[in-house]
Amino acid sequence: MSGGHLSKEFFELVKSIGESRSKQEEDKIIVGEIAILKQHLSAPNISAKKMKEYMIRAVYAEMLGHDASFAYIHAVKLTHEKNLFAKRIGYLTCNLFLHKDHELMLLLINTMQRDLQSANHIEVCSALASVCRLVNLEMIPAISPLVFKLLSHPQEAVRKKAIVAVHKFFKIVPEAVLDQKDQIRKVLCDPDPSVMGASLHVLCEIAKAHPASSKDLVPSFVSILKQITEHRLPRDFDYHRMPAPWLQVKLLSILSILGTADKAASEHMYEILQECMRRADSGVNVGYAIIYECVKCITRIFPDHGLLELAASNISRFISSENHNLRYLGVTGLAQIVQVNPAYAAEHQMVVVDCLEDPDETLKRKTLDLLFRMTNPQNVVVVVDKLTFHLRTSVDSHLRRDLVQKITSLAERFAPDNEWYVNTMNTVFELSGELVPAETAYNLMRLVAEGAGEDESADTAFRVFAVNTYLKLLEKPTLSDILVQVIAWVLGEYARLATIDGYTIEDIADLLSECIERPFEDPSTRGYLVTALLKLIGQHGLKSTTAEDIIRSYRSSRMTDLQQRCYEFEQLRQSPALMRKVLPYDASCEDIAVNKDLTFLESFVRQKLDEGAKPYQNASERAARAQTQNVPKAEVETKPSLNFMPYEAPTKAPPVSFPPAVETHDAAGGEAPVPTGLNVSGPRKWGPSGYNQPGGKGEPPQAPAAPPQEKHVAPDQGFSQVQTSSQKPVPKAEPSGAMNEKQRMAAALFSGLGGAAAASAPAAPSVPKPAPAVARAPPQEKEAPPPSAVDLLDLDDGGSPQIAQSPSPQGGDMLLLDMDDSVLAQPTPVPVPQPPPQPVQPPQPLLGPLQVTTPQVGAMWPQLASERVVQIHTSLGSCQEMMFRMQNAMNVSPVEIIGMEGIAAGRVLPGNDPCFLHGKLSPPRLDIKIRCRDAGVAQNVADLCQRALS
Amino acid sequence: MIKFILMVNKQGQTRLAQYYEFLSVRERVTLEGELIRKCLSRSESQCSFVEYRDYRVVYRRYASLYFIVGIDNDEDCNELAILEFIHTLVETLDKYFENVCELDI
Repeated sequence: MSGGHLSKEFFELVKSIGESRSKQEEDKIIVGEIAILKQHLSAPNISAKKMKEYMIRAVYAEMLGHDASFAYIHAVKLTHEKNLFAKRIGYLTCNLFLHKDHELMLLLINTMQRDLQSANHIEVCSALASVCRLVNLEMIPAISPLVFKLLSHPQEAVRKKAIVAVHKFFKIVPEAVLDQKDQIRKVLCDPDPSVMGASLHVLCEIAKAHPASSKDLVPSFVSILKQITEHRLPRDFDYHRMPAPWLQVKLLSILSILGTADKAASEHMYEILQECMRRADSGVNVGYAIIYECVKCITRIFPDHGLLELAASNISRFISSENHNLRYLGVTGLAQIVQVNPAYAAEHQMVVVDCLEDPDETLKRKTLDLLFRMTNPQNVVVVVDKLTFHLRTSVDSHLRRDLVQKITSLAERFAPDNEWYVNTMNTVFELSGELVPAETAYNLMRLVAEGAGEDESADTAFRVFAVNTYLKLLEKPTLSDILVQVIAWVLGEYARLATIDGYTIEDIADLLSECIERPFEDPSTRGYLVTALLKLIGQHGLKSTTAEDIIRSYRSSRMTDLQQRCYEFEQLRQSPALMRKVLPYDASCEDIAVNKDLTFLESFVRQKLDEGAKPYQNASERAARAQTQNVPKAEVETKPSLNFMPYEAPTKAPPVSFPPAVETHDAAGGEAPVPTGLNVSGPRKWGPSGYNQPGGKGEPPQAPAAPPQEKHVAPDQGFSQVQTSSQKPVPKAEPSGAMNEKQRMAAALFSGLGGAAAASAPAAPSVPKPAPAVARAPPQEKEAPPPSAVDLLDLDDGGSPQIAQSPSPQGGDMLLLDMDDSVLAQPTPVPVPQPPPQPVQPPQPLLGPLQVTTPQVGAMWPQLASERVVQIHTSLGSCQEMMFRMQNAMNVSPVEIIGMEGIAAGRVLPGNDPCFLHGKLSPPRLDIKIRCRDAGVAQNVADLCQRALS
Repeated sequence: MIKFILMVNKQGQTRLAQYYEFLSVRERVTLEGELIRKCLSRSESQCSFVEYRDYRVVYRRYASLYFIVGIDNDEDCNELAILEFIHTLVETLDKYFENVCELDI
């Protein structure tokens, strides 16, 4: 930093900063410096040399954490300079000061374009460096052709920078780069290894995004890696006598992407991986880095037994090393191996327990991650205990969120019994309720409501347990929102089951009403509490003045939802009989009968029609009318979405149209229950089977020494050997009289890993599950519509329950109207206009396939004037079958299957007019809607459907 | 992907900073402050990797100067390779400038 080119002022500055003893002192110096700089920069006619120095000083100030934005414009100006040095400094300072969306970028584009075409390669390099840093979406079209041209520049430095710029483009708009893929691939064969190395990064990104299209490069990557390991690169690339280690690491990571689940591609790699590991093992750190990368690669590609053994033996060297960095790599590496075969973890149980106790936070975290990955039904309790302990002690929000997610996932997957699950979840809610997703809470509530679904008395006992637990929790002064919501719901439903001495229903109601006054973050929590009180008072004919006072006071709440609940309460209280009917006991999982035809409205409709009201038209009819009539006013009226807003009468509604809890919709409408109906809680089989099985009861945790036999299934046959060898260490942990604490912990943590271990591999869902406790299916839970949400929060949707429960519309309004049918088990027939009989057309190629997406169909649907609806008595059992038949018989392309509905699209031959088919299957009935431009074609297609799909 | 490279001394003074994604000056100052505190709180016997916000941070100490590199926090990163990268950086600086010390930077 010292030299003749610096002014005395700057030299003094650097020196004083260097000598300052503290951050505060340094700050003071810089504040002074900024004032001087401002003064200098406002002077006219600064020479380029001076300006250069001022810029460097501004960069210095910014680096030390002070704002120097006054200098930005000067930096941009400097790039316009003729002087090469000044220009370079200008670009460099721009790189540091600006970002891609900065307003001064506009001023820079032109200069960049000019410099990219300059004959002087130093100018090109400076501009390219700026492109890499600053390019944004708008600039790419202007800049990218120039950059691609530079990929074949004679200077290797330019080529290198150009390929890095291409990498940057790829990160912003992948499409812009993929068109030029061949050019990028050519760079891989560049005579200069450093340019080739730079190209690996963009190729890696491309491989990540489109693995299939890069597979053919595998042999090239393998041969490059081979050449590197054989020291074929110039010596300049060696580091600690390891040839180009970072290039090796990058190549290995690309290979691991391309080899994932691809046996053919992986087989190319086995040999080089082995060679690479052997050569890297020279005792230097960077060699270990390469080995670690090899291990990662081995665990990701199609497994090879020999390599896995090699990887495991290297990892065990790492994990038992004294060097902390290597130990860290060992634990992370083990976590990856465990995903392929959990048995390897058993060898290292003592080390893992040591790492868990290690004062090093990072190592601890990684170990927790490892534990998470090797959890199985036998050790779940211990592992979750460990995770919960760290959740309790940690303050880092990233870690906490991660832990919460891990604990919930483990609890849902492996819970040995319901009590344990409830307790675990309560702890999580208590410790960090704000981080728990709402869905988890719904799952818990559903479990309480539905129980295991096998043994009624066990379910009741479980509910009693839940109620008592929550009652006790409610006494605590501070609870997280989500926990209060769960408590409110459970107590509202099942308060009568409470068996703790001294708690009557009145006491519970009082407790809940006290709770309302607490401060909450989520305003809807109060709504939960009010509804709970509502239920208690309704079911028990309770007279609790405190509760009523509180409810009354919240009538003026700013939350409309809360307001509405309070007003509903007022209304209901006036007729206790109705109240009991509306809020029945333990009915949250009863099926709800919804009269889909809304027959109870018929007299009303008739009356209105007699009075001269217009008859109802469905969305497609309205759309068609709007099209043909083209009356703007009518169009506004017929926007289908307007009809679904349940906004009317928000407060004082008469009890009949009163939005009750969903379960009593028919009661409110005065209808006798229809045998079939909308199952709001989801069918039983979809229920939380995950928690239903009281697995822990029948099967006590397996002693590690006696693992069940047949359960070990690995992706490759070669593992049986591994299994036996890896079991050996397990008996060490066998409980003998004098087992110390650590060993006990190890035994607990690693139980089930020896043999039953494969079951815990989350990556291999096809593995047969050993204990009954594992027979649960968390993914299915996700598929179920979120019924509990409806249960609890649907008050304002009461007016139009069907629509409220339909999944979010994907295909325009016609889907919105039809979607809810899919939830119905056996819908009652809808009056469908029968098509007028027409002469049957001879079969001919009427349609051709048309590739469109559901949203496109939704957009085009209303524009097609003709519609035919056919009702077919069909033998088809599934939607897939229906689509297949359509595809074969009518030559249309399938668009999407949603539940029991399918959409297909075709084009009318000859020509390109679209024709859409929407089938709704409820065996043995099939409703097909056909939409196209021409009425004759629609009829023909309808006939075709009749024949093809019956 | 490397997100930033910092050189910070034990007093918390930043000697050199290079960011590869844009952060405002204020964000940088807090990030640097928190990181150096985190690094200082770790002893020799702990490993050189820390998770911080959504970065994975690799640091290495040379006398009183910390070299800190922030990378993506995902499975793909190779911490040890980054650690060695820091060392080449230092070796290069040393070779180029001959006997570098903190004050030169």
